Amino acid sequence: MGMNREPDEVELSSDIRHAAAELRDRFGGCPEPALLLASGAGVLPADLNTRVIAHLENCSVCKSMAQDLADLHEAPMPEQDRMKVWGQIRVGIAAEGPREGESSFARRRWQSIFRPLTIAAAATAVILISISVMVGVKLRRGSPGGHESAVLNGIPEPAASQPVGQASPEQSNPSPSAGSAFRLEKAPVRLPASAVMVWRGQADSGNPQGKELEEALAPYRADNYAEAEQRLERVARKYPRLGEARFYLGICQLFLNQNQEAAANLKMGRSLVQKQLAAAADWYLALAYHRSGQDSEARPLLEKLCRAAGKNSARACAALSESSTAQ
Amino acid sequence: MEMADFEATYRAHVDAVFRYALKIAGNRELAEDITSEAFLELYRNWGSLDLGRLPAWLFTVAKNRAVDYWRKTAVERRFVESVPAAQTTAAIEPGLESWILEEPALKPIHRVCLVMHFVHGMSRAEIGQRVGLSEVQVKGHLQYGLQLLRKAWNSIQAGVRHGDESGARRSGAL
Repeated sequence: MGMNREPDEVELSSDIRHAAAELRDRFGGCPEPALLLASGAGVLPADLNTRVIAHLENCSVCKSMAQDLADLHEAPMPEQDRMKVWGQIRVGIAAEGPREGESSFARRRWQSIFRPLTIAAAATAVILISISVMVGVKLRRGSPGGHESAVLNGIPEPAASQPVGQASPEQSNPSPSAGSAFRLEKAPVRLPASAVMVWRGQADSGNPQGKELEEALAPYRADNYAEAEQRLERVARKYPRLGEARFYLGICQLFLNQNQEAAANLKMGRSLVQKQLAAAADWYLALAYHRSGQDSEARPLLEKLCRAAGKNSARACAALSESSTAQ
Repeated sequence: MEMADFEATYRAHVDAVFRYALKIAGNRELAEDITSEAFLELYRNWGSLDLGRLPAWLFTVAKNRAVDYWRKTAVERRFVESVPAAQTTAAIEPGLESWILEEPALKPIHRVCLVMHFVHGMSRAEIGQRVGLSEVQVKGHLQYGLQLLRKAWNSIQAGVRHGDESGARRSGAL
């Protein structure tokens, strides 16, 4: 086995290197260290275990190695590794769905809100909520004033309210309900650092893309997604490497129920956005896939987010769980 | 079951379970898988398990998973082939070998890193994988060992020459 020489070893004298090569020739055929400990723990198959034990009785280096490995006092597990394993567990839990006799976490939340209602009352409530949200969305879209960002449940717009020239939305998945993990929430605006540092306060900046992006996002901030979509589309075409334009364009299209267009733009943008938006881009792309009926495409993204630590982890895990329940 | 309770139990025991899994699995990635499977099994049995049996119960699950891993035909075959069949007595030779094994200034972690590197030809990343350390930590341990080795090399060589001469006198060559 060839030795990977590290830079600090280059400084070793030739006779040390020669002695090391001799050591390797003498003991390089010894079993992998993993086997030494596994043998001590009693987890090896019998034949393999017998061979390892016999070798240990006759090899000073391996005997020492086995003892040293057993004595090692490893440092506490780093927090990020704890989170990584926790994420794996969450993926596993989500994949199994709710336990027998118990509700999923999302379903319990839903039930705790609506349990007291009769079926008829629940149906009436859903209809009334739907109408009020549709009216609210229509009003917000019409006026560019400073409205607070809304948590919309993605209920489709009536066809008449679609801007002229926009394709009819293709719906594959019914809009998620208020308690759904797949609910659509607006992402806060976060400009790429280069754009913020270069153009703010500098009218004749050599980097106009930041300024144009900021201007295109003005209707987005005001929840006017149709207008924002048109402006962001222009910016995205003009600056193909500006991932943020594609990112917010995709979100606008989700609000407009143009899910397949949203998926295409989010897919293009996710590899180009600043690092801080990468996980959010994956989330919205997964959402777009889900809303387009492409859950097989959404799943790997949700699993990746669920495993990772971060703000998007909890909702990705909840979405996975909900998705498993629905199958 | 509340997820918060399960997570609290996870945090209380994950370090110990992971260290155990690392020892019996031999590499970090597999140890992480074994650890997560042990806690998944705990999740499935939550409500019917006496939590006073933790973490021993988790160690048992981890051990069973490791046994399954090592028993997989391909894994077993690969490792059986890697263990030398012919066993010969190997006395400790003077020089680098005895220095690594007997130098009191070397702690177990230094020896492990040096042997994995010099004998098994592993890179820092591979060593880190095996023992649950970062590459930076492994680099530090290797550097410490190599510095000691450089300082001790002349004594090591002197010891080797002395041993050679003694051997030659005994055999009548000198």
